[in-house]
Amino acid sequence: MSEELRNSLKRLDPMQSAVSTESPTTESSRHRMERVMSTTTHLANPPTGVQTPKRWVPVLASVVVVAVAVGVFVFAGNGTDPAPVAGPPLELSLGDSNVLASCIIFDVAILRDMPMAFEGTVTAIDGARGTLTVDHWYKGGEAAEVALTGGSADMVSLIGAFPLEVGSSYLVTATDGNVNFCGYSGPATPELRGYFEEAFGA
Amino acid sequence: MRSVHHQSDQGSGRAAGGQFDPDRRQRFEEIYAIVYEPLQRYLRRRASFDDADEVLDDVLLVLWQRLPSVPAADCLPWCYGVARKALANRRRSNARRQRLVERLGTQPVQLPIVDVGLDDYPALASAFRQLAESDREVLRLWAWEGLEPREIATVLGTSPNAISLRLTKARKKLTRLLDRQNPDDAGHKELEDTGEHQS
Repeated sequence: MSEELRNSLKRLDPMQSAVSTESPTTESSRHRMERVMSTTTHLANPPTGVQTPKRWVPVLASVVVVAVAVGVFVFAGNGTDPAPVAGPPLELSLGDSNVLASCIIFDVAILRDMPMAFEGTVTAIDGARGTLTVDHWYKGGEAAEVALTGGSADMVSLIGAFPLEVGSSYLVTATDGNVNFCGYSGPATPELRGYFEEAFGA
Repeated sequence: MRSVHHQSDQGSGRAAGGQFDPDRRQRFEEIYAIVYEPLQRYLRRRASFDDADEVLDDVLLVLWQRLPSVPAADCLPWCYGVARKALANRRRSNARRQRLVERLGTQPVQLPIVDVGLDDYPALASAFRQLAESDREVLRLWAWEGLEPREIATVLGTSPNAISLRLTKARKKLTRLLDRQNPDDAGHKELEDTGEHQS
């Protein structure tokens, strides 16, 4: 009966075997493969399976310190997917100027310990304040909107922080009300989203 | 920029596991050959053609980046799992775009979503549609992708035992819904029409 049902369900499949797909050997798909392989690989997942040593390297920048205070959770995240709720925007700081910032090499294990993580889309930029609509809370919050305040152009060049653009989506982590940079927040690329999903679940 | 302080050989990609590592490239080509067409089918079953093609790029990029951690025996279910998350993100993005369009007061965009080719088997399709989405998805993975519970567990990130239970329940629900069809038993008749019903 089980296989009978399975076979009957196959007939509901919109992608019947007669529906063509592109073979991996066509010129177009070979081109796609080469394009993917031309992208730089990252060692956040070391191929040897050995954990990358966590090296602290100080860098002068006008941003916050990436806080990796494991165990100090201001917001108790549980990895579930609460729907954003309306209310006043959650205020997060992009950092003050002239702060000695430190970066830690990117590691999903560290990302996982971040107390707050979300994906949002910039809906407005007003001076030094950017407002994001939260599309998805990975951890540690439920606000429908987040306001990012402060920051300066220096941080873009010094620690790889990101300029905000209206209409663009960003993946953001924060600790103690401060946005984390150094790869722990940034434009919502498939790669970074993959790391967020690995760390927090989809 | 993933971190301010990449290792020195990382940018060149020449290190073991880097983008020019011949072993890595060879492994990617092998997996690419395995997953390329099934992934197209998986995505086009669940998204518009354009969305499916773009999400395919996303999945392949993740596959390339995560190649060292891809399980050799379950590379296809692993890719389906990535595709599932990428599709969820795409749907959120589409919904966001839809909200923006509506906010601007313009005509809402009808987002094309390939559902299922249900018209030919209305009774079975009706029963299938009455199931919860979680039940439908586990049945799709089982029947359309042809996966076994262990592989479905890889896709959905849960245990094989949990999937076996879900699959059993979903099959029972579907069978019960089919049994509630009219006296002519149209759902079962659809099975008989193809000679696959064994009473």
